[in-house]
Amino acid sequence: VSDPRVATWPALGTTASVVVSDPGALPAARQAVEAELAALDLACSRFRDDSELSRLNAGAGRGICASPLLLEAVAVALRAAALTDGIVDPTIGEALVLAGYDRDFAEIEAGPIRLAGWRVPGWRQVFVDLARGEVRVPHGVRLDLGATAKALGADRAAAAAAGVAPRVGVLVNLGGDIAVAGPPPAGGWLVRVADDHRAPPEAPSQTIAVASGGVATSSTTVRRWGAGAHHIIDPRTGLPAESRWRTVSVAAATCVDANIASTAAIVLGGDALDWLAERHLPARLVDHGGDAWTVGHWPRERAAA
Amino acid sequence: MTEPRPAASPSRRDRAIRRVRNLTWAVGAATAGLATSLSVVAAHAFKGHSRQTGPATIVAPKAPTPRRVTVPPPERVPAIAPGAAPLSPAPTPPSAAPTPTPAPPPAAASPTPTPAPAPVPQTSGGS
Repeated sequence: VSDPRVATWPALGTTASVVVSDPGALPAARQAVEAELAALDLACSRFRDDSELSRLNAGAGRGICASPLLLEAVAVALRAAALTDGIVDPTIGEALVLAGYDRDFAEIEAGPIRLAGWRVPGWRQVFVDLARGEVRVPHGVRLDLGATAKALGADRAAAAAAGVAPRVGVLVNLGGDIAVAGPPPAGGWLVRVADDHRAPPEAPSQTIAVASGGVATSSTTVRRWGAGAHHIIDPRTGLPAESRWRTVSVAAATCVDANIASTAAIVLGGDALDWLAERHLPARLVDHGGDAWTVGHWPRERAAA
Repeated sequence: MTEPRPAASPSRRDRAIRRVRNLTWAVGAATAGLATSLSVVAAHAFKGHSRQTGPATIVAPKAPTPRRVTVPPPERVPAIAPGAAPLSPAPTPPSAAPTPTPAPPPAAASPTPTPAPAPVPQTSGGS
């Protein structure tokens, strides 16, 4: 039986859901979310020839006059890089292409690939003039905003939906990146963390309650292709990260912050526990053996019955 | 038939020799003057080494006087980076989900409406 407070549809190469506390607000909330995601796709998609990001990457060193949304997305990506000392870096685009992720993920053919490291140029190569609305990347540098743009989309969509539905609680789930806005339901929004946002009910997971902010999960168990390739690139090697963790979930004040931290934790590997603790970010890290480690105020898992 | 030219007198020959000598001196003087002038021009146009002679010595360059200069920011350093706000935890940390309880048996006539159940959990996972 479908819940009249929930709407789900495909978007951005993944699944988008909006949940509201009042079913009467669902149509307007969904419309607001769809508008945000459509704008985000047009600005930040690496797989659309008509997107602003594609135009920027094809500019061969020429700057483009960017929309406010692309400017914000690039600024968010650069903030992520600055806060992680380049561990989460938007200039991994070429490395992703060389690793085989050169088209929409659904179109990537299975089969062996030969991974070759690519020297990631580094986020300091990106020029942004917020006052003039200009963005420029040097010739040969390709931006990929996937790590942070989806989380930004969840934050923006939740805020937009809450804006059209005052006094209604809103949760937006964009392929596992979750943002909430407005008054939460009693006891908070229930969020289940798992390896895959499409995980069946019987899959290993933990359910928590959140009242504000966002939750993001990064995992090397999804978006895999070839023999061991996945979408989380370690900028130090230009190759898919070889991490101690298979999945990391983080709760933070925004979905963007949660996403930055969860992606960084995958790349940092064993150092992630201290890194997250120093930033007081509640997190759950699952190693390849299936053991879950928690940091900060992440709730304890209920013992299996 | 032409008559042979009479031989030049000694006085005419001496005058001719003096004219040639004066001309030679004038040309030499003019050449020397021109060379000097060009040397001066060249010396001013291409600054060369000093006239110091003797064994080569290493002279420490004179330390520049410190002065405050305004350097424009490097073009390639994004303007966003220096002011990046730190990652922030949520004001309220996540909590354990409430233990699911079995649904109560339907009442015949409940005086107060029962609250709607919480929406189904949304899954945060890799994508």
